[in-house]
Amino acid sequence: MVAADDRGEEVVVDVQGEFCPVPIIEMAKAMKKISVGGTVLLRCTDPGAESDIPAWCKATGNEILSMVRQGGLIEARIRRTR
Amino acid sequence: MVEGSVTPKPGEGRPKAIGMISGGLDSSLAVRMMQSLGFEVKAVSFYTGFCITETHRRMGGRPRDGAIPRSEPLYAAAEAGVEVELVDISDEYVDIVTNPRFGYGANMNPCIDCRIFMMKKAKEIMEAEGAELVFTGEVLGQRPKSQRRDTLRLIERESGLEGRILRPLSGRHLPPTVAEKDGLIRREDLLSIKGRGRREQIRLAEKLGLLEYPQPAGGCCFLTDESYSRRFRDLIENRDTRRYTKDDVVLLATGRHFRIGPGEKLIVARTDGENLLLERYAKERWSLRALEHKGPLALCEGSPEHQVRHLASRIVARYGKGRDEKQVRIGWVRGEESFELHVEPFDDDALIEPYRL
Repeated sequence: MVAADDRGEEVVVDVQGEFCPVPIIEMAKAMKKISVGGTVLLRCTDPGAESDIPAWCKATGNEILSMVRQGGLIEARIRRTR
Repeated sequence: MVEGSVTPKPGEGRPKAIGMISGGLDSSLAVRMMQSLGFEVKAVSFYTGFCITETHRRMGGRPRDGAIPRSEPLYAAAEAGVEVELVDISDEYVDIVTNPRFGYGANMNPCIDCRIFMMKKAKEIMEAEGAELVFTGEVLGQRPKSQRRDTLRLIERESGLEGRILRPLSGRHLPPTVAEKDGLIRREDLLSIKGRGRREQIRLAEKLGLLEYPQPAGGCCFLTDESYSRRFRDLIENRDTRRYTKDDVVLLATGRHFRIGPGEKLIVARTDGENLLLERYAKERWSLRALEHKGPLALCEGSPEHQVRHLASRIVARYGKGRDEKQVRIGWVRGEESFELHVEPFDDDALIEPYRL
């Protein structure tokens, strides 16, 4: 479900097929493991993630760098800011 | 309630409090109150696996309007501007829901055991965060079982949080917490709401600028739903292990359910969306549907013998376009296995009712 990419700066969290609140739980777990400034790339298919991710970032103070939806797949890149 | 009236300990900054948040009106109000009193709030919300929002999203939207429901705890925390942590307790929750020490509520909701378990988790978070207390939006007397005075005390004792759980909405009716005894908060900062009415909460919401919140009937736990609970009870009573899986939780909320044998259950889709969902969850189950008429997909769990296969086929035929035919061909598939049955559809819903869950 979670894998670090080659650069070691970004953790990929692939939770396709999982639904609220699991994508956010997994993303938050990954976020705790990286340093401030690092990023998490979340891949999921929960359509509600498009509203969950901004809400979570607003509550936790982290930053959405990008969020793209292609078909049913949502990819969001979030930077840890604190 | 006096804004910013909390008194920090000498040499320390703003005290921290852990808030149990559902995103409903009461817990949202409690968060706003604690913020107003000067606490730094961290909200926590627990995922038990019986989340209605999760299942509705999995189905592609709410049954009544197809809308994608939002995550109320996340939304409430974001609106209040407080940090939020979602805690997954779904694995540990299996033991609680199948064998609750303090029994069930009106349905299969083990509310007391559930609250105790969540409070124990909240206690761990409180200690890890160096927080002073845990608070909730509970209102004395609002719920018949879990929000009675004796139950609130029991939950505190069993969770190891005696004196550390603050219910600010009903605080004046309850014994003083450690925070109050230590002078961190004052009794007059707390409210005296009790009972099932919501008038006072709505008035307070207006005062605090809390304009948007879900209606109370919402909730996010399937175990308080009568129909779901009936199916869930049947499931664990018909399994030797009294265990369930994540797939079970989804399927219990999907389609029409029929107990057709001690180890056999039939699930018949009601909509195109449910047809698709059942296709995805077929896995080790038998899939069956009419071969020459339009009709729903159904899944059969267990190891049905001929008589049970015949019964299941007649039920499935009843819900298809061939219901008025003398004979309907029903195809059964499970992995590489397949066979057909020619059956007479049931011609009266009353004949099906004894099997319905």
